[in-house]
Amino acid sequence: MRSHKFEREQKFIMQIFCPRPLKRGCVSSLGVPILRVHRLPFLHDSTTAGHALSFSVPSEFGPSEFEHSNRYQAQRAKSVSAALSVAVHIAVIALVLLFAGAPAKQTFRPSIATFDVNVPGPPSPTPPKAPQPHPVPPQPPLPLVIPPPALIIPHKTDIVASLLEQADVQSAVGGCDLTAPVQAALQTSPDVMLQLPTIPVEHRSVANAIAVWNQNWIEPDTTIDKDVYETIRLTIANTIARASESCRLQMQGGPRLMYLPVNGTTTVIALGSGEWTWQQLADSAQPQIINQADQPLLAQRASLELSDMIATMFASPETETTNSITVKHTQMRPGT
Amino acid sequence: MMSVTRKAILRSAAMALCMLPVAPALASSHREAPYITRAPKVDNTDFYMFRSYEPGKEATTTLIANYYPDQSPGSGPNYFTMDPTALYEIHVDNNGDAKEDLTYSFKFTNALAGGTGIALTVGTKTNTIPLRQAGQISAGDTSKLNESESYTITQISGNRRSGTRANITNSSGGSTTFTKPIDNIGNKTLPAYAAYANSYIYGVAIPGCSGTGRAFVGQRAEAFAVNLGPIFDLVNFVPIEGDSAAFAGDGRGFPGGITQSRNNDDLVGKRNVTTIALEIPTSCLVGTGNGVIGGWSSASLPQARILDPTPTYDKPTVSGGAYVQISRLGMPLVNELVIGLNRKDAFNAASPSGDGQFADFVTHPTFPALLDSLFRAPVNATLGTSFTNIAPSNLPRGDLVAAFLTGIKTLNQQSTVTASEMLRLNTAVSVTPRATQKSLGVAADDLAGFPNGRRPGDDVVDVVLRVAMGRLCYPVPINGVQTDLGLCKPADAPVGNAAFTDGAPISARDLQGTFPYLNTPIPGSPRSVRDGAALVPAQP
Repeated sequence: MRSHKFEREQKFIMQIFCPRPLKRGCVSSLGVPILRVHRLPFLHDSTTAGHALSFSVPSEFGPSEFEHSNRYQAQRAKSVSAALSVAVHIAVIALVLLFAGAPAKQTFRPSIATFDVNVPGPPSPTPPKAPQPHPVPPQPPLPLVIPPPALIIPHKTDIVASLLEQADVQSAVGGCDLTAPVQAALQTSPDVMLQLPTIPVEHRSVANAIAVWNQNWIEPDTTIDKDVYETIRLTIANTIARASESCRLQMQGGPRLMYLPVNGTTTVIALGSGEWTWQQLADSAQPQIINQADQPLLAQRASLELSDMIATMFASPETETTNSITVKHTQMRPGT
Repeated sequence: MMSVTRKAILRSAAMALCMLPVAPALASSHREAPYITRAPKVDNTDFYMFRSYEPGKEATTTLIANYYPDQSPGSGPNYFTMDPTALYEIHVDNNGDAKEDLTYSFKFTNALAGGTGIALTVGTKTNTIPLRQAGQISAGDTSKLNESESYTITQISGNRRSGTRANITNSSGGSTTFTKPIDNIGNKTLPAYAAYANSYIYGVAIPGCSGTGRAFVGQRAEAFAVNLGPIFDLVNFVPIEGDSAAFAGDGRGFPGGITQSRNNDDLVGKRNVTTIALEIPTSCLVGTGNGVIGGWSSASLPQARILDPTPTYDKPTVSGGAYVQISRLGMPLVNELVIGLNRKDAFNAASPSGDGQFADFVTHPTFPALLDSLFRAPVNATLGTSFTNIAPSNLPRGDLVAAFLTGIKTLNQQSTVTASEMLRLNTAVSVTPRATQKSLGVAADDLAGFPNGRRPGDDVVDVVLRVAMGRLCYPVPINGVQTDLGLCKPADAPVGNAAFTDGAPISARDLQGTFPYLNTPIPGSPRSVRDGAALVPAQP
């Protein structure tokens, strides 16, 4: 139980939210006592007799667990019983007496009344001159320079090689995933980054995703510039080829999404589905049409608008149209 | 003397009983656990976290936490003030350890005009008025406002109680105190509520953050769409789309299935809620992680509250002790539909780092089993099938663990994976403009939507219904390509491809496209405007 209701004669009197309630009190989640409940004699009135409840806050309950502001400490102080207040006063007086005898190091300041200006003191060595800061002439405000938008492409080789090394290390324990090096390879490829914006919005999802491989390489149509898809495929295949065979053959589950920031937005490159291996990307030479006969109603509904658009715009004798995307048969050249 | 004291205690006890909430029994994302029904002011109802889709604000992330459910428009004279003894907080974990790295803590103060309130002289006496307003209120004139609410925002780096604290300040003037607009009493008091409320959207300077953000706290119209009454009446409708597609209107979907209509959102959809909204530069949230942030909201109260037999406006009760979390929300509908009734209060008090104690509720969920008991026979009768169990059979439910506890790999999984319940947002995914957002989110080829974060227009009831029944065992479209997420197989979920729905739609097009994204609250009067505001037709 997390909440205590202290009831007397079915009347709700006090409520305590307690992480770890005990029979006679409450401790915090760290086991520190928070409240103790006392049953105090309740004096008779004309109708009933009984016990009232009061509570006290143990002194060992530190301020860090307690409310940080003085306001709540004041509230707490007002809420303790009169009996506890006597005890607290005694404790406070004792503490004051205790600290009164100790030097108050942090608050001591020499009084000017103790400084006798008429009595010369012993000559003191000339204190070294404090270094004077050089005056800084006022500078005109720097003009706000906004650099023109530029494609910042980090150095390719080091990053990809390093990530491939990490992937190979992970492959020894069965955790090989080439997502990071492939993403880095795409991000550091000037060709990819320059050509990526040429893929029209109609060939991206509403969240700017582009699916490039799902058992087969995917390409929307020949009517757009196909170089960018070819560049993406080659970059991916080349990166995979540099990974160890044991890594390439490890089974992956589900898609991998890679994020390529270009011109202030991010394109998501998606590949993979179900169980697959990175090696399969390199081996994807035989094109297949994605079988969507058994796709769920939801997915069909969701993709209907986009698929209709794509089918209408790009259907051609060279392509085969499914109900959601057009798949281009593409021959891959792994490792080239 | 003691007799007098005792009578005072009894009076306070009676007052306490009177203070207990008497709201009608509702339940959804709201009032979802036994104890929180007694503390509506701190009931955390919804949490949203998304990359801002207001044009020009794409570099920021918006965090919205809603509290205080079931605000019936026109519930005067007191309407819905926040609890000044409470802490309302939004937490962000940016490294995946399931512990907050950043907390935004809101603390409220209520004050009467002039200290004691607006007074009128009647005959020879001067008395204070009983209402929260003494005349018309507008953005430029709040002199007739009898009670105001203000708040502070503290950013805490590290542990929410022992971390480094710094005030968020008004970027114009540096004030640390902000004002919450009064609720939408009605058109006579507040003839231009939208403009009035918008004047309390603040630009804010965030400590340690180079950019500026925005903050707003105030009443908003509910954006949580749910077919509330029937769904908790043992799902008193056929929860599968009755049209061939949502809004198709052709009746060619599941026989007898429910179809989309705003009328199905006739309870929560006619209510308001109190919104705490923060817009923060995304770069200030991501920390050293991989760009995926986890987020959740909470409310906490001081441990002890004693009713004062001689209450004053400033101090009706005496509170003290450490703050104890009594409400919590990350992923929607978890405490409603996943956690067992006997553990809901414990869930509200827990932190994500302690969620291991609730793991069984996710890996072996009871809600699909309940749906099986309710609908297996009708489904078999309708379809001529012979399913022996329509609940997914892949136990433990790895698909639910991915969706609710770990995030989905390379979509919204953090660099360090700690199974815990929170909303996870990959801030690298591009913003989907309001016009093209898909209310079914990732399941509908919109990677910027739920469960990759949550936007106000995401229809989380439908998504959660479908995911619970095995939607993720079937491929989802990514750029139109049906993609197997690799979490489970269609054979695991016999009806996982059904278009489960509660028939209560919501989309970004139903909501405003600018911060704070949720609509202006429904006014208390006049009746025609109030009823009209609650029945805006849904947008496909």
